[in-house]
Formats: sequence, C-alpha cells, structure tokens
Amino acid sequence: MGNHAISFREVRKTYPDGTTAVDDLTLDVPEGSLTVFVGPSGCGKTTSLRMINRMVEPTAGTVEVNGQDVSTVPEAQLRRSMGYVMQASGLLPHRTVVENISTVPRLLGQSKRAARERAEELLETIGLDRGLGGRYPSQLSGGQQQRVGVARALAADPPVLLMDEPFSAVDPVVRADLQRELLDLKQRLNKTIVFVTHDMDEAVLLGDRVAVFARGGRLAQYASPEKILREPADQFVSDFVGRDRGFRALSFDTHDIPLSGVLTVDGQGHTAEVGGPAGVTDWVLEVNSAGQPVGWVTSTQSAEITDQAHRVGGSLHHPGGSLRSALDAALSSPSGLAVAVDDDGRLLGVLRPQDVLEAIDKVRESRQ
Amino acid sequence: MNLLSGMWQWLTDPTNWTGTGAIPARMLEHVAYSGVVMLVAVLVAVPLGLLVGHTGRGAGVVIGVSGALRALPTLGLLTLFSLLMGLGLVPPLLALVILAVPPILTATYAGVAEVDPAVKDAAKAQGMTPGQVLGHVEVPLALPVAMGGIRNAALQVIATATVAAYINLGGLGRYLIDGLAVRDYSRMLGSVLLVAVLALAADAVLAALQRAVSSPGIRTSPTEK
Ligand SMILES: Nc1ncnc2c1ncn2[C@@H]1O[C@H](COP(=O)(O)OP(=O)(O)O)[C@@H](O)[C@H]1O
Ligand SMILES: [Mg+2]
Repeated sequence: MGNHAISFREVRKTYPDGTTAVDDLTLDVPEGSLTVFVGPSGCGKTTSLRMINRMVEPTAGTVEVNGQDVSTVPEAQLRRSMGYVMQASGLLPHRTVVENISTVPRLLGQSKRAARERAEELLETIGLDRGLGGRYPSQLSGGQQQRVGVARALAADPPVLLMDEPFSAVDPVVRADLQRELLDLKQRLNKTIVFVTHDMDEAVLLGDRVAVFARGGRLAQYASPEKILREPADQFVSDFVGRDRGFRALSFDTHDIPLSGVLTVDGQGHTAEVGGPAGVTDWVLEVNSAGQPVGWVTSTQSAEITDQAHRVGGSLHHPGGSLRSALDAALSSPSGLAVAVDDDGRLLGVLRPQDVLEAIDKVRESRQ
Repeated sequence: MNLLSGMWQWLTDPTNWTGTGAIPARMLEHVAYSGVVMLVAVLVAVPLGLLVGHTGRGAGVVIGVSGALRALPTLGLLTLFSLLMGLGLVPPLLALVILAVPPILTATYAGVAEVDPAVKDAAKAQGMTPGQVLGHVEVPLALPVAMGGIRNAALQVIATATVAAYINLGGLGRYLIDGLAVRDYSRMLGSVLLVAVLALAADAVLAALQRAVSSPGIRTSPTEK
C-alpha cells in the first residue's frame, strides 16, 4: 500500500446516543504530510482524529497506522507514540512548564534529568524563553500555553502529531505566529501531522492535503487546497469554501506582473533608477551596498535618509510568487508600491498596485 | 466576672497540672481519641472519595449517605453503640468516626469531581493509564480540597470528643461532666477553653499541611469553580 502513515478503512462511529459522527470514512494520510480535516462544527472531525489514538473506538471499520490496526496496540502505548494537542491546552495546572513537557518521556521511563534537558531544549524550539520553564500554566498567556502544549506533544519525538483546533482559542495575531511556526516546525521535523480546524483559511494555509467534512460525518472532498478552491466537488464544499474563495485562490496563482522602475539612493547619497525609468518620484527607495532594499524615504527627506528612513517593513515580493503576496506587498508598503527582489534579496524593481489588480482581473476572467 | 477569674484560677492552679487526672494527661487522652478517630476516618473516607470521584459511580449514594450521617446526633449514636456493644473505647470512637467521615468523603469526592475534564482528557491522550491519571492528576488536584474536609472534620471531632466522658472515659470532657456534677462552672469553662485551644492548634497544623500538599500552580484558588 506504500507509505500511508494513517489509513481509515470504512470507518463509522455511532455514539451510544445514536448520533452517527463519522460515516463510512475511507482516507489515507500520506507519511510526512500535513493533512487538515476541515468542516463546520459537529461534522465528526474531532471524532475522526480521536479514533487515530483510540481516544474514541470506531463502531465499524479499522484505522491503521503504518499498516498496523490500532485496535491491536495497547491504548497507552499507542497514545505515547503520538503527540496530541488540543484547543484547551489541557496542561496539568499543578505542574510546571518543564514538568508538563516532560510528561510522555517520563511515562516512557526516561530519567527526570534527561526529560528535563529535552524539555528545556524544546522550549527554544517552540519559541519560548527557557526562563518560563519553572512557571505554572496559570502564569502563562493563552498563546504561551498552546506553545507548551505543542512542546509537550513533541517531547517524545513521536512520528505522528494530532492537533485538534490548537490555535482556535488564541487571538488572531498570536494565531498567525503559531501557524507560521507550525509550518516551520514541519519543515524541520519530519512528522505526519493531522490538523483539525473549522477555518478554511487555516486549512488552506497549512494543509498539503485538505479533507472537507460535511454534516453527518461524510467526507465531501479530499484533495490539495488548490484543487478544493478551484474545483469544489459539490455544492456543500462550494458553499463551505465561501464567496471569497476567489481571493483565497490568489494564493496559488503565480503571474508575471510587469515590473516598474524606482528611484533609489544608497548610503553615500548616490541616486539611480532600478527596473526602468521611475514613474513615481516623491518616494525614493534606500538600498545598501549589496543592492538590497533598506527603506522608503520621501524625496524631500533624502538629505537625512538614515534616521528618516521608513523601514521596508511590509512584505517583499519575489517574482513568480502568488498574486496574493504581490497584493500584500503593495498594500503593506508606505509608498503603495510593492518591492520586488530576487532570491538574494536584491532589488529588481517595483510593482504598481494597478498592475497587480489588472493581473487579478485577468485571472478572474479566465475562470468565468 | 468572677466566672472568668474562677476559670483563670482553675487554669493556673499548679495542682491541676500534675498527676493522673490532671490537665496534661486529659489533653493527651483527648488528642489520642481525636487522632485515632481522624486516622480511621481518613483511611475510610479518602480512598472511597477518590474511587467515587474517579469512576463517577456511586456519587449519588455517597452524597445521600453523607447527608444522612451528618444528621445523626453523636450523643445518640454513642448511647446506642454503648447499649449494643457495652462500655469501652469502641462506642465513642465509632460514633466520632461517623461524625468525621461525611465532611472528608464529600470534600475528597468534590475535589476529584472538580478536576477539569479537559485536563483529564489530555492526560489520558498523552498515554496515562487510568491509575496514572488518578495518581498524577486527580489526587494532586483533589488533595487541597480534601484537606479542607479533613480540617473541618478535625474541628468537629476535637469539639465532640468530650462525649467520651459520658461513658466514664477520659479526655477534656471529663472536666465538663465532673464539673457539672458539682456545679464547678470555672472548671467547665476552663476545659471548654482548652478544647478550643486544642482545636485551633490542630487546625493550624492541618492548614500548614494543606499548604504543603497544594502545588503553587493551583494555590491561588484551590477550590476554583
Ligand atoms: N461523546 C459523545 N457522545 C455523543 N455524541 C457525541 C460525542 N462526541 C461527539 N458527539 C457528536 O458527534 C458529532 C460529531 O462531533 P465531533 O467529532 O466533535 O465534531 P467536530 O469536531 O467536527 O465539531 C456531533 O454531532 C457531536 O454532538
Ligand atoms: Mg471538534
């Protein structure tokens, strides 16, 4: 069957009260992938996730991990081999951060010292100060608690990570950080991650593969995020993905938008035009000696650029990047011009917002 | 006013502080009765409370029976047990154990039942066995609440252990019974003060113990929610 880390085979779950939470689910999660289960609340995502580590037992069908039927593995042993992160951090309130992170290694018989060292290492991995190790969960912010929850799940270095709406309860700014860090972790640690969310944006951002669940525990579509946005399998998926799916789809369109020229100034005060003749002259881009953009200055300030410079701040656009990133770069730039750079970060020119919008229009038209 | 000065006189009379029936000996008896009663009550009520809280089974029965037991007057029980079993230490100790069990049992049960289900669920999902969930999660979180019940029970037991004197046993109750017989109110009042001092001292010790078993992570609000 190849390298499917997790396989659902005709799995059904009917709770004792008669609710069928998952109905005939067959799905393969490829090894090393980040697979997202997405769908409205109550459609069986959590139930499906919890059948992987036997927190819920299927009524019918089997769940396999690396080809082995999980019902043949003792529960505790199975769960220790999978990290589990949930929405409510579920940290032990009477134990310190380090003790919490050490939970699974300690259950596996590791010495207190070894577990502690590993826990402190993990604090850094997940972007927390080592000094927080002695704190108690109640002394942490919600975002910090979620980070500790992730560290706890990673502590025994399990090949599989199960995450149930881990970032839903934190504020949007922290959520964006956590999402970025998860993608980063995924690059560094080779893990199979199953991630549950009700948020389509999060699914598109994180998932290599997205499984859209419909009410009644039906798997409506299972494909790459691009495919789901472009070709929703049915009316349900189309409605769930929503009206702004056109905008979401921009995440995947790469388009060559014509570059425009920009006036630059270097540290010595020498000016130049990069990318062609500069259309706009009241904003000047300061560049360093390597030709990388440093910040925007208005032409009237150019005498004292060093302290007056607006840091580039906003995102930079890499040609070939998505339309969405181009639009982001333009909108976040003080001059309204997106700064385009090559792979070494050297300035290539700028994108005018009108050119970006025109490219977006073309994509929309081509899809009608 | 002369009642208070009489009490003071009784308390400070050196002859009351030496010999077999003297204050230190009576206090020791009182502490011994209370200590034995508390030990037995804790050994019965804490494991039972943990079991009921952990399994969630029998909670209704436990709460109902505890309430019923609380309604029984200790003196009545003592009389009944003495009639059934004859004189001796067992009837008063048993009556006092029945007094002490309900507060400890309900507090221990409540301590376990109050543990956040998400915390238990997460502990289980990390791969803890049911026994480990009990030992690593439920017991440490329930202990501060259970200690509250133990303090409560200890106060009641120390105050009520005076009943042992009704059936010719020792303890500080001796001064109450004997004082009443000869209308020596100074002696009675003095012994009441001694009982109160003993109760407060025991409570202070148990409060320190309660603090010691409460993790700083939960100490700010040991009975939150
Ligand atoms: N322990 C349970 N007992 C009975 N019904 C449940 C239980 N857990 C979940 N359900 C029901 O099963 C359905 C799916 O729940 P869940 O898997 O939690 O969905 P989701 O995670 O997608 O919101 C819901 O209708 C829910 O009410
Ligand atoms: Mg859910």
